[in-house]
Amino acid sequence: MVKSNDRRDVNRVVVLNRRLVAMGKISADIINELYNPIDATNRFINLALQTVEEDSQGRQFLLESKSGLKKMSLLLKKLDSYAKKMEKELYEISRKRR
Amino acid sequence: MRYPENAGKIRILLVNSDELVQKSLYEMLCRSGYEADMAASGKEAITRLNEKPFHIILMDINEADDPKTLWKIKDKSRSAAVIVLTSYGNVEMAVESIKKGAFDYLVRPVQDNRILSAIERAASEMSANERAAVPAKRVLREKDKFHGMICASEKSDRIRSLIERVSNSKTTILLHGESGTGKRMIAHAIHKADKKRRNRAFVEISCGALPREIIESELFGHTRGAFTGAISERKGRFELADGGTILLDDIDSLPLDLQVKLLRVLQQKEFEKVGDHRTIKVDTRVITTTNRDIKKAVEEKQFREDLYYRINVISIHVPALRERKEELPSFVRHFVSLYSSENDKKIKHVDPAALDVIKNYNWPGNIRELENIIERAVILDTDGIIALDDLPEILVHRATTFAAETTAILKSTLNSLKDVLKEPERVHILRVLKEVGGNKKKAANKLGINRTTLYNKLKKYGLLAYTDSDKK
Repeated sequence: MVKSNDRRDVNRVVVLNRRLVAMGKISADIINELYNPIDATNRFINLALQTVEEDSQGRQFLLESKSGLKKMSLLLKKLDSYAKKMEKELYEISRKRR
Repeated sequence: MRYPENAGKIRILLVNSDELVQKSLYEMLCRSGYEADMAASGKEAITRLNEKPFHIILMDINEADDPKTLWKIKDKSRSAAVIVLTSYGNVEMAVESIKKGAFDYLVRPVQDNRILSAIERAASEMSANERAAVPAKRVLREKDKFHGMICASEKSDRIRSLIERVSNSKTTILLHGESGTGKRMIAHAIHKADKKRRNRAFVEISCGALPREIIESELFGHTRGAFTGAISERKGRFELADGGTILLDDIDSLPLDLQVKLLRVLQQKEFEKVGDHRTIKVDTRVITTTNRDIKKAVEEKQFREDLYYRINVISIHVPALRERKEELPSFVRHFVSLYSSENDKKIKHVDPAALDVIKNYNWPGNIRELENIIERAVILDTDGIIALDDLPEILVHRATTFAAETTAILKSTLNSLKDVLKEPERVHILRVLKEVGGNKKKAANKLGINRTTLYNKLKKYGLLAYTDSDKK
């Protein structure tokens, strides 16, 4: 968040913050959309794991894919937290202005 | 895989707009021994709940209106436990859902075993009575259903497969078949199977039901003062269906001058409102239906040839019900279930004798006629079993006498050669009448004689009772 103690700069800072928050909102929507395919793919991998033999190479590949998906979903969680934080800050800014 | 206790008796409705998530959950739950059904939206979920009850509803909540939809669903199916699935950032919405009566909420991405354990918990907390309230036997196998369409024959499966292949393209589709064969239902299934358009409008208009002066303004809209009575600007059906699908029913009834305008919409995706010079662009999938031989209409100059080729890119023939009688039991089960819940009746089963009569009848009015007869039977029923006395007399009479007549004639003793030679003609006319459902015009065409000759023969052989004119 951009901060300023100079009263003359307040409007400029508010506009800048709003832009950042808008970006946060767009990110939140994208994250939400990305959760769906990650969730479904992870479930399909679990179903596929039930059909492949233990110690097979196919199983190994599926497990590697699963860990990749896990990393993606952790990253999304972090982005989501950030987006939510920005949204709260917008609320605070608009509340203080009132 | 270990099946959870009672899994086979638990029926789950999945409400999720994402097809991939739906499919993955469906596969997982089916493999875990549950019965699952899918709905792409809250509205569709309510329709599903009208068709049959569910024990558990697994619902995705992401939009601001979703908690309200949940409330409506909960109101529709009070005994069902609703488990809410939500994204990481929408926890507040999930909490709101709990306040509205949801059983539990899970934050995505969620592990499969957490979903399964929530379902098991909901099932175990359900009382035996609540479980029994939902009949264990499914009304229809889910594989036989496709976006509301019942597919229990090879012919319907072929239509389903064609829909799956064309649904995500922009192409125009022509559905042709007799009246009452379910063309509208197929058009709706195409719309629902189209990933891009399924959540947008599905607008239908019957070209045959509206007078020429009204149909143009209905299709394309009008501006204020465009004609006497146009007191305000109005959007046309094409504009309303922008992004979605428009169904033009009985396209063969469209006046020739409007066919030119429709051709332009199909080719250039643009048109003007009545009384307006501004061009409106739309992205609408057009599905047309007809119960006439449209090629013949082209030959007779009643339908534009260029428009015919434009609407006939993909043509689907919807077979008459008598050509797919193997589907009759599925249709009967579906309508019995639908009208029993609508009329608050408990129908245990359909008597085999009644089902035989239904199978022996030729259904000239197709599925629409069957639906009306089942609705009537459900309303009239008093003992929870659809029997012969719940069916209309004409149906019972026709189905039994047609079968009896043909066999009795062959068994009877006829002495004179003249009489013996008459019998094959009589039997053949009777057989043809049965095939065309008693329609004299169709029977005459099939027999290669004119209607007057047929009428005289029917009179001579005493077969007039088996024709359309005998109805009601």
